[in-house]
Amino acid sequence: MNNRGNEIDRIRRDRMKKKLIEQLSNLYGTLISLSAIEEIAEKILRDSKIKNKDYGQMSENEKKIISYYVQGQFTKEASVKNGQNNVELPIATVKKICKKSLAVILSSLIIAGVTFIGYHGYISIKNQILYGDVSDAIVKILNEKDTGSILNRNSTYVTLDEEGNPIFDINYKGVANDIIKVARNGNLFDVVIRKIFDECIVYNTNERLIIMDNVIEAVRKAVQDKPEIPDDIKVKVDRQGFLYYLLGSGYDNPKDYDVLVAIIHYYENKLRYRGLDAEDRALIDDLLAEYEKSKTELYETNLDDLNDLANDSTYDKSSTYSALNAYSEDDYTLRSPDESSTYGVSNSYGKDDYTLQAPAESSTHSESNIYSEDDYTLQYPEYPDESQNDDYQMKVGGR
Amino acid sequence: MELDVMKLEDNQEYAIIDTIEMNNNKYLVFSNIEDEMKNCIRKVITKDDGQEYVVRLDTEKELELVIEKLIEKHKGEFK
Repeated sequence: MNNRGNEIDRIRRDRMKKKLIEQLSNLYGTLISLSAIEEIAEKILRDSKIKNKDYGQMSENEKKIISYYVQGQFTKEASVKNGQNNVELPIATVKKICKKSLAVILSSLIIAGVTFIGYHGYISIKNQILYGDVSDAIVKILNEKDTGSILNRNSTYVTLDEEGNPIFDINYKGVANDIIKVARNGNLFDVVIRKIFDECIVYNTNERLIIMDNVIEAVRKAVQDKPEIPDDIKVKVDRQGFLYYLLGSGYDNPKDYDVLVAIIHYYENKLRYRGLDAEDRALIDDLLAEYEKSKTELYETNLDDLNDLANDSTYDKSSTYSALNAYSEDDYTLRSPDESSTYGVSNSYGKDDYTLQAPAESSTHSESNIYSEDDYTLQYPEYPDESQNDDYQMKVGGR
Repeated sequence: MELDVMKLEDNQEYAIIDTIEMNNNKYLVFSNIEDEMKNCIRKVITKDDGQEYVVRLDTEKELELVIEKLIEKHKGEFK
């Protein structure tokens, strides 16, 4: 190869390496963040003064702890505070910490009274957890708890008594009450956390998805014998293939529903569509498959975007289940992963050991431990019994 | 220096852009020729026939360790 060719190759290799380093840097940052979150979350939980305090009553130091979240400085602060020890944690350790921190955060929220009982006994957690910083949720909770507004806003389910203990709406008996009972004695927490501990290993933004997958599944299992689902659920598929569920009974304001509700009902739909005919089932199955593929992007979508979509004049709020049949390629275009999206690495192998999540756009990678910006997932290979069959002889050729 | 390229099991071409030595093993970091954001890691083994082969890593743990090693190697270059 001539000098010019060599130079082109060198430039290209440098560019590839630079991108690799970018990916590693992002991963590294994620790990730091996780350890920082763990520290702060533990602090919040450990300090009963904080968890029992209104935000306005916190000391400056306590507020500062919260502000680490809010201002997004926790990474820097925590690493400085701990003399870089955090950043040296092995990945395996960080994973454990991460799981622990999730539990801590969730328990903090639960202690703070964040849990409330959703429709027909499904537990829900404020959508702030899904959309933004956990910090936002915590601060919002602490801020609003003194007025009770955060819970009263959803007072269909939970209000606070004078001492700040949750009072659950008696209108939701049966399944809901079963959940309430276990929630009150802490078993629900155990169920959820155990589920996360057992099956959920999370990193960065996808953690929200995995948390909710596991939370929802845990709760759903807890009530699986009593799937009391209202008859007035209506469903609509928007142009991005997102399953919107317009609920009756005062829940038909698009601003009132959020991704979490949709996801919960997405799971519920799996029960619900048992009564549909084969064609409808097939259609829903297709949609759900597409939905699975678009999960990551879904979580990147903010509530405003969803509301914009919902307020779109072409968005038929009166559609019912039959509206599914109106689905067409035109209004069900999934966006490709945004190349500029934050790169993240998510290990979901805790649940599906070594089972690959094939990239949405290319299943041919499914046997490689390829991680890419498109995937948002660090993909681990399936390890066949005879793993050497597809070994590749080391014949590296020039180009 | 020429770009070292080889096809992996997905039948796509990858360039070797980095190497890692760990526990007496040699690991190659590949970048997909068509999509440079796609990277993967493979291990070099020598079989009984004396030939070198590129194989997938044995375990998740091994992959983690290699990634850790990579992070350590390039940490100074992080922005």
